Amino acid sequence: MSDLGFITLWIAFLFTLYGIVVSIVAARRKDPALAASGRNALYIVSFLILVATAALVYMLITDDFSNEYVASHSERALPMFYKLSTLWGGQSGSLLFWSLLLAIYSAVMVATLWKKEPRRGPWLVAVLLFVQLFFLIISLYASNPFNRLWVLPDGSTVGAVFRPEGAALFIPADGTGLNPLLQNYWMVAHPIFLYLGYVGLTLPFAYAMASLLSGELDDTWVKRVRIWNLIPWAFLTIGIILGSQWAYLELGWGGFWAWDPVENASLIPWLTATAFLHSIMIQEHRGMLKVWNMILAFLSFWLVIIGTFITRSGIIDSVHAFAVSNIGPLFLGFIIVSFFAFLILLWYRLPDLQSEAELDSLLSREAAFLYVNVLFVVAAFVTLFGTLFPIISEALSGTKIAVNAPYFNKVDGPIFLAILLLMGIGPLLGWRRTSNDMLTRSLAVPVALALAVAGAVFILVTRHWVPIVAWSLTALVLGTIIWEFYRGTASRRRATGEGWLKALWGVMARNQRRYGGYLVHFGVVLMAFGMVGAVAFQHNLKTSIPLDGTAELGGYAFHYTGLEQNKGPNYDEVVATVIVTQGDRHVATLYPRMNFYHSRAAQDMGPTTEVGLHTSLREDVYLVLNGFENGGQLAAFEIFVNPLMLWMWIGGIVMVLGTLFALLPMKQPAPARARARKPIPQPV
Amino acid sequence: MKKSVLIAFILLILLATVALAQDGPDPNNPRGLTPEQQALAKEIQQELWCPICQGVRLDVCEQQVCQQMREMIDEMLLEGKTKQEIIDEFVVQYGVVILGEPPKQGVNWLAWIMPAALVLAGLGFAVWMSRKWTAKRREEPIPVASSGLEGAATTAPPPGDIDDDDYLARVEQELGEEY
Amino acid sequence: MTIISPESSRNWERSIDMTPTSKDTQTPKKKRTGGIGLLVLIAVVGIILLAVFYYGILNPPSQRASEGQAPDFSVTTYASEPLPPDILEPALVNLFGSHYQSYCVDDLSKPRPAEYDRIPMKLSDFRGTPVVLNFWASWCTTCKEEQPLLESAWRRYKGQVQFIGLSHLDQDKNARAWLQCYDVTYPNAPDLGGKAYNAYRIQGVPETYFIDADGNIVDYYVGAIPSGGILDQLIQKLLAASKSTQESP
Repeated sequence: MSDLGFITLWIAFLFTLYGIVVSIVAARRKDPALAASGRNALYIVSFLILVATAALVYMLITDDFSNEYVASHSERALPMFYKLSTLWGGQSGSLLFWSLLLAIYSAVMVATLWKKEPRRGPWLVAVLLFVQLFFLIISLYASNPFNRLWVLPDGSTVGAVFRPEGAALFIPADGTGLNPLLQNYWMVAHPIFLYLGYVGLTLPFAYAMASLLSGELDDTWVKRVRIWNLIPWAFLTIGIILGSQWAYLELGWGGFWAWDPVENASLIPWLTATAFLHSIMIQEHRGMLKVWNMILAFLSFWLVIIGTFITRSGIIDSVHAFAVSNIGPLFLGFIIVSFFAFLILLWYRLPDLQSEAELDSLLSREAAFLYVNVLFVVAAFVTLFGTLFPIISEALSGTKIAVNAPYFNKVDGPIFLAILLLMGIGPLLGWRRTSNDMLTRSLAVPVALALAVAGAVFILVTRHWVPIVAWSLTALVLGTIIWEFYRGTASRRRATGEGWLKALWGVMARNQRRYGGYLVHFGVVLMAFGMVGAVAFQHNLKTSIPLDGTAELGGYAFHYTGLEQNKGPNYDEVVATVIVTQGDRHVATLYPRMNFYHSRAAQDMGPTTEVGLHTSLREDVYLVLNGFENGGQLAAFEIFVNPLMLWMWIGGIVMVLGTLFALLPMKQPAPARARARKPIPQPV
Repeated sequence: MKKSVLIAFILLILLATVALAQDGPDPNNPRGLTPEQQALAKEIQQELWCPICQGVRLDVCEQQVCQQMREMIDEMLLEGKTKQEIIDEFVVQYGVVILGEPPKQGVNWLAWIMPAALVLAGLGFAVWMSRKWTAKRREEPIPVASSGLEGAATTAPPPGDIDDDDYLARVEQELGEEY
Repeated sequence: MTIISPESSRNWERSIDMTPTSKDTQTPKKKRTGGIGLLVLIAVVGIILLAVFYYGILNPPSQRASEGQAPDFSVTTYASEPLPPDILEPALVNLFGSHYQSYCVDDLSKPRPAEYDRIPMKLSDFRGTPVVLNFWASWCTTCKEEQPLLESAWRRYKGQVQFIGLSHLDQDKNARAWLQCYDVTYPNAPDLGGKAYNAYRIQGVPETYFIDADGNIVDYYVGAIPSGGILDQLIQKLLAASKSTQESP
C-alpha cells in the first residue's frame, strides 16, 4: 500500500511537470489542442493524488503499521473517527492532504472556467500545477507519508521509502498514538475548514497570475475571481472560529485567542482576503485599485505560505507547531520564488493596470473601502511582524523575548476599532460622493445609538475607555445595518406596495450580495460585542476546595461534592462533581475532568483537562479541574466567569449564514419598478 | 478564689479558641496575605507569563517554576514591596521573557515603533492615493441610455447622491451586476 | 482614459466583454507611474520579511552553541552559609515532598566551601582547565537524578576538571536548599535573566557542556546524564581533548 501511494504520487509529479510545460507552450502559441492536453494533465494529476491519499487512508483504517506515518500517529485503540483524522494530524499527512485539496480545487476551477477563458486558461493550469509541484516535491523528498519503517543493524529505526543498507523491515505491534490534545471533535473539523481556506486562497492568486501572464487585464478577472475568493474566505472564517472554540473548550485557560504564532498564521491571510473581498467591489464599480487588487490576491496566497512556513519550519516556538523538520528551507525557497515572480510580472504589466477613474470625493464609498483596505493590510503586517519579533530581537540584540497577548491587543486593537468605525460609516456613503445632507440623515440614528450606548456603559458598567469605545462602535454599526435594511425595505414598499416582510425579503433577495454582506457585518457586530465582554470583564479564581466545600466567584457559589474515576477507550479519567448555584437558584451541575492517556505520545505531556461549562446569553461559567489530593479530599480548580461569551459563537453562525445568503442562488421576487421622478438638482 | 479560677478558665477557653481557629494554613492563602495583598498578587500574576511555556499566563500556569514564581510574589508582598519593585526584580532574575510584551527599551523599542510606522505608512498611502485621485476632476460623459434599464427615469439620476426612491431605482438597475 | 459612471457601467462592461484585451481601447502611450509607489512599498516590506526568514532559518531556536568558543558569562556564586532550618525545611518539602530525607545527605547544616562563597565568577577565569558546565533548576525533576552523579564526579576529578553549575530561572532560597540537600561542593551561581542560557541557546534543563582548557566546546549533553558511567566517558573524552590541545605546539 505504501508502494502504491508512493508510485501514484511519483506519476502525479511527472504529469505535473508535463502539464506545466505543455500549458506554457500552449499559452504562448495559442494552441487549443495543446492547452487541452495541459488541462487534461491537471485532471489526471488530481485523480492520482486522490488515489495516493486513499492509499494512506486505507492504511490508517486497517492499522497498517509498516507505514511510518501510521505507526507514529495512530494506534490500535484509537477510535475510528480519530484514525481518519490522523490523515492531517501529522506533518507529512497534512501536506498530502493539502495536495489533495489543491488538486480538487484546481480541477473544479479549471473545469468551470475553461470555456470562458481561452487565453487565461492554459496559464491558470500552469500556475496551479506549479504550486502543486512544490507540494509534491515536499511530499516526495522532504516529508514523505509513504515511508516504511526499517530497523538498522545498530538497532535504531529509520523511515524511508527504499530499503537502506543492511536494514530490515520493521512492523511495530502498535502505533505511538495520537497526541491527546488532538482527540476531540473540534480538532477533526477545524483543520478541514482551515485547510479548505488556506488551499483555496491559491485560486484567486492563480487567477491573478494567469491574468498577468496572459495580458488579459480587464476587469472581468475581478468579477470572476470574486467567488473563488469568497468561498475559501468563508471556509477560513469557519476554520478560525472553530479553532478558537477548540481553544476555549479544550485548552482550559478560559480564553479563546492567545495570539499564538499558529493562530496568527491563520488570521493574517484572513485579513488580506477580507480586504480583497471589499476592494474587488471598487474595481467592479469604478475600475480603480487594479494594482492593489493584484497585490491583495498575491498577498492572501503568499501569507498563507508564509504562515505555514512559520509554523512548520521551527523558526518560532509554538505549542501548536508540528515537529520541526527540514521543510523550512524548501518553503522559504518557494516564498522567495513566488515573491519575485509576482513582482516582476506586476512591474511588467503595470501600464495595463492604470486606474480607470478618479475619486470624486473623500466622502464616498470608494474612499471608505480604500481606507478600510489599508487598515486590514496594516493589521495583517503588524500581526506578522509582531509574531516574528522574537527572531528580530534575537538577531539584533541576542536576548530572547516573548511577545504575548498584551502586545497584540495593544497594537491590533485600535486598528480593529478603526475598522469597526468604517464598517459603520462606509455603507452609508454613496458611490462617488455623498451629500452632507444625505450623510447626516443616514448617520443620525446610528450615531445617536452609539452615543446612548457609550453613555450607558460609562454610567452602568465601567469607566475604562476600551469597552466604552468598542461597544459604542458596535452600536453604530448595528444602527447602520438596521438603517440600511429599513431604507431598502421602505423603498421597495413604496414601489411595490408589498407588506413590510415581503418587501424586506424582496429587497434582500434581489440584492443578495449587498444584504448578505450586511448580515455578515451583523455577525461581526455580535462577535465584537461578545469579545469585549469576555475579554474585558472576565472573572477568574484559582482555588483549592475541600470535599463538600464551597468557593464563590462572580455571584455564583461552587459546591464541590465528589470525585470519581472512569475508564475511557484509551485513557483514564477523573471527574469532579461541582454544583453551581446563584443565590437560591440551581444553575448547573458541572463535571470538569482530567484525562490521563495511556499512549506513549501522551506520557510526556501529562494529563489533559476537559472543562465543565455552563453557557447562557449573559455569561459562561467555566470550570477546570487542575489537580486533587488525598483521593479527592482536596481538589484544585480554576473558575472563570466569561460574560457574553455565547454572543461570539452566535455572531460566527450569523457570519456564515450571511455568506451563504450572498452565495446561494435564490428564486428572485418580482422586480420593483420605480415611479418616474423629476431629476434631483445636482448637489453643490 | 473561685472568681480568679473562673476568669483563668474563661481566658484559657478563649486562648484555645483562638489557637484552634488558626489550626492550619488556608490552602488558598498559605502564606497569609491580606485581601489587598491577595488582589495585588493576582494582578501581578496576570501581568507575568510562564518563562518556559508558550503563551501561558502566570496565573493559570501549573508548572513548578510558575508555582515558585507565585510564591516569590507572595513573599515579596509580605515584605512590603510595591508592584513595580516586584516586577523589576522578576525581570532581573527571570529575564524579559516573563513580560507579556517587549519592554520599551533598547532594541525592543522597535516592536512599538514598527506598528506605528506601518499605520502611518498605510494611512499615508491612503491619503496620497486619495489626493492623486481627486487631483484631476473631469467632466463625466453623458451616459448612454440603453436597453435593459428597467423603470429608470429618462434623465439619469445624478451620480452618487440619490434619495430613497432613486436609490431603489439604482438598486434595480444593478440587477445584472449583483451589487 | 474614460470615466465610468455607475449608470453606464453596465454598458462599459459589455463593451469590455467583447474586446479581448483592454489594450485595444486604451491610448497608445501608457505611463507606468500609477501603482509604482505601491509596488515599491510591497517590495520593501517583502524584502525585510525575507531577511527575517533567512536569519530565522539559519539560527533556529533549536540550534545550540555546539562548537567553537564557549560563550563567556559573568555571575556571582550563591552564599555558602547554610539556610536556617525554618527556611530550609519548607523549601525542601516544596522541592522534594515530605520525605525529602531520602533525597538528601544526613547533615543539612554543613556549610558549603568558603572559597566559592558569593564570589564573582567568569568562564574565562578557568582558562587552562577543562570545565564541565551544568545548567539546572530546582524546579526540574530530572535534574534530581543527575545531581548526585555530578557531585561525585566532581570529587573524583577534582584538580583535573572544574565543575560549574548555573541555575536557570531559579530563586535563591530554592537553589540553596537544593545545593544543601545534595551537599554540592562545586561552585554554583544563578544565571540571572537567563543570559548564559540564551548565549548557549539552550532549550531546557538540564543540559551539560564540556569545555576544554582553551575554552572550546568539546561536547554537550541534553537532558539528565543517565549514569555515572556515561558521565565518566564524557569527562574522559574532555580530558583527552584538552591534553591533545595542550600537547600540540
